[in-house]
Amino acid sequence: MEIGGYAGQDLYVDLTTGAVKKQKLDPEVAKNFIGGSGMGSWLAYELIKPHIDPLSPDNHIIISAGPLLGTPLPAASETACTTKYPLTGSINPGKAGGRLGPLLKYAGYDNLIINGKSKKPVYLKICDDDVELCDATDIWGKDVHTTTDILWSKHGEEYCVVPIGPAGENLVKISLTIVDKLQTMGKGGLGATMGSKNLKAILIKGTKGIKVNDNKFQQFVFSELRSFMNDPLLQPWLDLGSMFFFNSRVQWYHKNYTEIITNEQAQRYGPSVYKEVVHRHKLACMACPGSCKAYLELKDEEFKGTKLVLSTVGGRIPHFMNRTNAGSINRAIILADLCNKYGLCAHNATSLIDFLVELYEKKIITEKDTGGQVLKRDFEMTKELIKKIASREGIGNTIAEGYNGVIKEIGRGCEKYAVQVKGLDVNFDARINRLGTLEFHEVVNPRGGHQQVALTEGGAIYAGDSVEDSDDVEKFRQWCDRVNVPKDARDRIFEKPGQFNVAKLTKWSEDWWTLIDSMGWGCYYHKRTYTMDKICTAYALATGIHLSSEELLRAAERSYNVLKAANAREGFSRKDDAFPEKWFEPILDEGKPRYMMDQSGNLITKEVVSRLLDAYYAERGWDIVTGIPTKSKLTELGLERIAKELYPV
Amino acid sequence: MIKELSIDQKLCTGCMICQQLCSYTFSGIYNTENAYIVVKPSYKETAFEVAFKPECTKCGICVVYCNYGALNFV
Repeated sequence: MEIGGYAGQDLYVDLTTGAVKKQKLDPEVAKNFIGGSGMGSWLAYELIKPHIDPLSPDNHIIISAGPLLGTPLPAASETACTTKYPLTGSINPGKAGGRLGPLLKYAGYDNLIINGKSKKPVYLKICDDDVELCDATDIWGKDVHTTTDILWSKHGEEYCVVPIGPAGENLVKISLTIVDKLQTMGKGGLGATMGSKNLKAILIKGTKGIKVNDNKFQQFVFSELRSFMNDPLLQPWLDLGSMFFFNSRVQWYHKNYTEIITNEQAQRYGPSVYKEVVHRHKLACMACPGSCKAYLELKDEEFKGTKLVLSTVGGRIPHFMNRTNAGSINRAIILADLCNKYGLCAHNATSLIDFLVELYEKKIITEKDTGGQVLKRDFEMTKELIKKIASREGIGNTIAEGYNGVIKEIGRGCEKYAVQVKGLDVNFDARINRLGTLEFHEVVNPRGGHQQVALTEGGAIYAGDSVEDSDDVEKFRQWCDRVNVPKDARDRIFEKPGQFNVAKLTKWSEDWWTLIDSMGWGCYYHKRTYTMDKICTAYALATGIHLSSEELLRAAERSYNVLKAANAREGFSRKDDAFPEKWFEPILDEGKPRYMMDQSGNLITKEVVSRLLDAYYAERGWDIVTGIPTKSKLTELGLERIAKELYPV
Repeated sequence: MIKELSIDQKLCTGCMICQQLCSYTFSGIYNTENAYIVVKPSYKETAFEVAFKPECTKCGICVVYCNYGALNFV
């Protein structure tokens, strides 16, 4: 397929037989699903048979690089990794920035598909047409950073290295991978999926490069780079990276989501303190002028001189401070680094520890359940638990199974204390900043409680404006303008004067971000400036394929419906789109109860939630009883075969 | 007069935009391997190590679009 932007072929590797197959990319698949997470969802539906064990050789790991990856369009580095995730049993695309997707494209591939299981530990090394399974016996057991250093030393730093650590090798369901020591990928147990295949690492290098269809693409890149560099909010963002988000309070939940940390408590580890105790050398994903990652040197007395690499510091510090009471910013950073080295998800680990401590404090579990371990929130306890989770030792073995496993093992009604959706902890609490599209999407997301897509409120919160800005309905109308949401949909979303329907808006937010992810475009900071016009222009100039905004949004909707269909086949339905019970109770905010409310300040009850779910499924054209795509919606999207499979009668 | 270019290693973030723009300018393809500037992860004194290849023509496109100030005209 000689179209710009795309590499034009997919690479299949069977770890059981060692067979390697290259297959030309079907141009119709490219137009229907674009690439990246969209194409990953399609391939997952085709290749991952229903009801297989995620840790069996039958599971597939699908790494997908969208058509903009490999170009310097600012922040074109989001690579999708779709599989059936062990933590939740759901099929969904995880994402990571960094070199993985761009170098996959430079090697000549749009998608890398891995299945089977090797008899002994191997790493998969790809350099253009050369695809090798190399003996990994000597590095099995080594942590993520040591593994990366060994492989760089052996093969050169031109390779992107994506290893698992001991957590993945031990099939810990909250394990993940780390790209080039920096970008986490595969929350939900990708590490375990790779470990189950005896796949220690994936290495990719490419020398073929990527062509684009039109030289004007480079001019478009220059224009976008200049716009990025001249953004007045850029400097404050670069100063702090993801700590920029800190004062939005989005991760200020505390004591297993029962309290919001006070402002006074929070500022003890906020941005001003962060700058005093940490020297930050900015790091960025490939093609991103908006660094959010860091090579840190710790400056406090306890860890003076310690250097480490960390992604999304602004998420890690609050999690370790609020959920596990790490005690200081640098202790939080040390714990985050420990998780990285083991290949363990810091979000999942801190959430589960926080949950178990609440159960322990309420005497729902005792030392009999914890193997004699006294559970509390502090630095030493957390450090010990991280090691035990990675090695599946004692209580760590229970935590390694995630929320679904913990709830099954403990029982005793503990599930009502678990703030999770489909087995994955939530990142945003709807009681803190009201029920927005982010929080609603955490519930209906096939992946579970994860912010798969970004918010729609014009980036108000993420731009550092006050929380109250997100109540401005006009910002949501402006967002709909940027994204070309059709008029009839806007009429439905803004049906009531001065308000908007969060459920209906979420549908369009999901489709928009699916489109962005399918292109491979992504940056925490810069996403708020993306418009449909830019997407249409970028895609046309890069590929030579001219799709209208309607066609592009339709491709994203198609991808999302395929993903939902794949999960419907697994048995997921409306019953799984369940708000956490705690969200219907108040959370303490400076001592006062704070309830879950909508953007207009109306209380959200279970009845309201039911109506919102009805509205969401209706906006999607799905069955409001089952919560899955209808036969007519699938047919409308050109997915007749899937329609027949889901509705055989 | 051909300008000289300087590198401040401490400021390189590893974004590789310089490599991508350079390769496209001289070969019409985005390909970090073709670029006249090399950026490699290190994580020792600095996160990345940057160096110009002998083929570099000092056109300066990398300097103009380095958002982090790691590259400069002398």
